[in-house]
Amino acid sequence: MQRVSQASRGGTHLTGDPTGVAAATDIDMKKTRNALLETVVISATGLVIGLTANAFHVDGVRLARDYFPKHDPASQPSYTQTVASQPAGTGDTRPSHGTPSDPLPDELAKAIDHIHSQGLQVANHDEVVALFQDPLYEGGLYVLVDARDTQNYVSGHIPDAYQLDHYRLDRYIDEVLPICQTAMKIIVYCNGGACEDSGFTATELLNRGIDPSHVFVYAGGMDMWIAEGLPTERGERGSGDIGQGRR
Amino acid sequence: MNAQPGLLRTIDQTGVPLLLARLMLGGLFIYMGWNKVVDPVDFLKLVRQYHMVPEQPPLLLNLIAAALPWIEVWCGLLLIAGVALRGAALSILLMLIGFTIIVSIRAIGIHQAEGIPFCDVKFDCGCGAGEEWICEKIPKNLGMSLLSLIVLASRSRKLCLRGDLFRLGAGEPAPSA
Repeated sequence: MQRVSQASRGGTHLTGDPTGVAAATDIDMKKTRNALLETVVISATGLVIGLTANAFHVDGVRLARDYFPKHDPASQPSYTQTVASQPAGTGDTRPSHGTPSDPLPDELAKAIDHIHSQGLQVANHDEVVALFQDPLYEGGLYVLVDARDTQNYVSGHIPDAYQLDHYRLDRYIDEVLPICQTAMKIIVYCNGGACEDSGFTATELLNRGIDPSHVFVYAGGMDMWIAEGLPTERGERGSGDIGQGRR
Repeated sequence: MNAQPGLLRTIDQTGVPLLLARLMLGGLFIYMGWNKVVDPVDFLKLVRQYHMVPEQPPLLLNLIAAALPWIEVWCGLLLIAGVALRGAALSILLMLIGFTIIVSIRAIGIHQAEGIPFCDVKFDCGCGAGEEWICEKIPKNLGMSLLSLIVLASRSRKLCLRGDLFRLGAGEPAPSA
């Protein structure tokens, strides 16, 4: 046994002694087995701790919830018209701040295709600006919904837009849903480009019974709004802290 | 025949390498895990971007986002406390291997899609430290893997509450505490 101990502690297997080598190997195997057992125990306890902590976390993940909902175009009529095309529009969804023949930036074109593939309607940039300047926007019949998180929202959003971060739906839905139910047009936006949150948020609204013909996604999003030097509001909705072209 | 321990073993027996590896690796994992724990939904979004877990049904993706950061924090705490060292180090090593592979695959994807040099690829990998350059991230992961191996290989149990959760039984060598 002394030899085993030496072999194990000193790492100098007594190669001339088969019994010592075998015993040392046995100890190494036991160590490996114990390490694997510990790994299983640690993973299991970590899982239990994680799920318990998540259950008590204010913004914890809801295990059964689909955070990335897909609107099923087949379940409802496909809408491809723009805001302006209600009732008589051209169906051209390109942002019309350039000449009609200007090609769309690749990223924006992809975003528009992605929104259409989800069966959602696209609002182009000029239409959103027109809606923003329409008295019906102030009257609450046209509504802008900011799908970004609080950090982004307070750092600059379209003035009077409602925040509806769909990942934290419980915080906002009770306030925003009744407003959307009475609105004639609802434009949902996030940062624009590859940002998918506006599509997810629009889908959540449709899943809660909002008329699909009223819901549009502003593909250019906040990036385009700021790039065009349009007004933004910092802080809470209605804070009055208005600036231009800033985030 | 009384063999002398080698230089590495002598250094290991001081307990210093193990302690340093435990503190560094444990601290890093607590820090990176905690950054994800505070906002698991943000972590969920980052995990989804890898497209390695099916989105339907959503349970598996949500489970990873809810539990994985806590497993990281848990392993870090165990290392610092000196409990179940080999298990904690092995868990971290396995995680690091997995993370490094999927982060590298994603970086290669970005490199090919955007046509930029591999080392110019920078993204938030969901590792808990925000956006990182891929050519810095991979060496960092290799460094942490090396620390895990030091903990795995060390026989010292100095300043450990319970270095081994399970005893080896008869013939067990005394820990060098």
